[in-house]
Amino acid sequence: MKKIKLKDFKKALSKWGEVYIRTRDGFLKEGRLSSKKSKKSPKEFLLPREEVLLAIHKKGADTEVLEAHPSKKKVVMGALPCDMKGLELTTKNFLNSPEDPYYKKRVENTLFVSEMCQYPSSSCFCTSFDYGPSSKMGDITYFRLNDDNVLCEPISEKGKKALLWEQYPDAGEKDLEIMEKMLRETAKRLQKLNISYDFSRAREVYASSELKDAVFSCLNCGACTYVCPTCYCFDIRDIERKDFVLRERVWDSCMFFVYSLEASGHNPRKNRSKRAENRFMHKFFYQPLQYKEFGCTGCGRCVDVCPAGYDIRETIRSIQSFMEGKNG
Amino acid sequence: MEKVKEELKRLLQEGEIKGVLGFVPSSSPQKNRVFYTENPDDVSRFTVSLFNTPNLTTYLFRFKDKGKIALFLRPCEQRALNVLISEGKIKREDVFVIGVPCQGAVDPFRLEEQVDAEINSVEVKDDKILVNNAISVYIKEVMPYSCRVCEDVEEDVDIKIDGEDKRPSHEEYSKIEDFDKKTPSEKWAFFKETFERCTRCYACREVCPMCYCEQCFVDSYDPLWVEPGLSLQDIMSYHLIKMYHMAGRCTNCGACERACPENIPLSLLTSMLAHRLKRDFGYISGKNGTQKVFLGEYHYEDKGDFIK
Ligand code: SF4
Ligand code: SF4
Ligand code: SF4
Ligand code: SF4
Repeated sequence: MKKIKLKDFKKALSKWGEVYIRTRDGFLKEGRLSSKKSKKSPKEFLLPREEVLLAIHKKGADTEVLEAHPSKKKVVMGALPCDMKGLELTTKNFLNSPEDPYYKKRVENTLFVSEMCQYPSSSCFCTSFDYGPSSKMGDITYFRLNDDNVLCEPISEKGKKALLWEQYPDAGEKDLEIMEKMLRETAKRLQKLNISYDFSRAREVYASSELKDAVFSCLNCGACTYVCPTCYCFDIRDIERKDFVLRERVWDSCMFFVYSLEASGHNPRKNRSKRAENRFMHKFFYQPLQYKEFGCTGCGRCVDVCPAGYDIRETIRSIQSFMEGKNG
Repeated sequence: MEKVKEELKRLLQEGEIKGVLGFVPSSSPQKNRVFYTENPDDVSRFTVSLFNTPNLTTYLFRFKDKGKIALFLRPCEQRALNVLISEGKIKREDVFVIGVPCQGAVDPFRLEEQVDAEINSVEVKDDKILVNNAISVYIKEVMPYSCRVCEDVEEDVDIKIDGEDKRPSHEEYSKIEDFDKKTPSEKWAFFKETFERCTRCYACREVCPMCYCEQCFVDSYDPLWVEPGLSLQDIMSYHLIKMYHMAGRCTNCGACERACPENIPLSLLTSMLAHRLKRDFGYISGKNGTQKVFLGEYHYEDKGDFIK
């Protein structure tokens, strides 16, 4: 690992692209690197809240189709392991065949500089999954040694090429010891849940009153789905302008009534609780079945943002006891 | 509170009520969790405090024709129930109202912003909240504006929790009158500053007892009333059209503002409705369950003669 002044690190990264850093709210161009996880995850760098895919230009009787290709190079600095894990999961979805060309372009144009986490909060439960605060993720990873210095190293080829690594001094023994110690302390402060589900019982769980009761408080707003690093649902809309029709991709949420409304007028998830149950099922049963990995990173953002005081961990526990109770 | 809990337990045991809807502590002390039970043993878990965020009448729609549901309501929330009764949406005999003495309601996200630290404990001390045993915050600063212009209700409760009504004084609508003095461009500038961060998560809609439409106008594709993006025009179209739908119905309960994770001062808009209603028509929405819905009646002396 190399030891670099935070200031110089940021400056060096800015040569690769525009640097966005983790602030209290989200990842912004301005502001100070915060000492907390951000309220919003950095998923919008790969899946923007609103994105034009193509424009159809009306020219008299003719039309011309212009495809929009995201081209701006961006550096996401300070993404925490839970953010990175979330992006890994959404990437599985978008770059599975067929590949999503817009998403892919953004992956190419973004340099992810992750920070090993020292900021556990009471809503975090990342160590319940197969990674943790000391996981080295993204293109480059760093540890914040103090206000002025970071210890960092490249991970991907892209990360290796992004900086002139030889010009920086190696981290000293002592600094590395501090890092190990701090990361151990962080892990100790984290809540680890026991999640051993039998995925083949998905139907039974979805039909259970335990799940229904657990999600009762949910109001079906989209707040949690918008801050969640792994929620990736979107809608495609055509928007008319004077001489243009814009085809846009915008975020959607499985919590909304219209999300599951079918053209016939039938809505399989008309019932509010079914929508909340589905969000849980998708992350804890369907995604593991499809991608062999949970669809939740334990970042706790949904807990932080929910106006109804809903806590996904209570549902996780209650389904765990359902699993144990009914099958011994 | 203990007496009320005893009574609720008895009512459940004797089958006089079907279930109880209230709040229990959650993992975040600044916002309690909405909880429903039909089990008498669970009654002891309920808590009543400034940190009960949503307006529980919203949840009543889930219990249509399911029997009598008891729920904890502050005065402004009782008014919301009254509106739903006058609109024929809920039957009075289907609910058992537990009156809650009110001291204002805290916006959990505003409190978080103020203390700028993780909240591990909250304690109410007179007009202040002590956070983490260290930081003291005035309740007034972390509640929606609607709590400052709270209107009275003609009380019609089935049981009442003892306690002093310590609602923040009924201030005049001075903030609204000041806003009225702004020019259109100043108003737009204000909206830009405060509403631009809206993510259109619709927590403010889902938490609102008056937003009971199955399909909201913003979700309509054809006609497309509001585009799906995040331009200020789209955001304000949503909020202002919602306000049209709230006229004479919204009881300024402030639940929308407390639910907003972006700390958008939504109750300024709702207080403006309340202000106009009172000033121009002497009407207070949901004052009781018998008055007619505001847009469902007219008087010869009403302003404007288009309807006569
Ligand atoms: S869990 Fe909370 S944040 Fe998520 S949709 Fe339900 S009410 Fe909204
Ligand atoms: S479901 Fe909640 S805890 Fe899990 S990844 Fe999403 S926001 Fe984080
Ligand atoms: S709750 Fe706040 S952010 Fe969400 S739609 Fe309403 S005003 Fe916008
Ligand atoms: S608009 Fe807001 S203040 Fe008015 S009734 Fe709905 S939640 Fe309450």
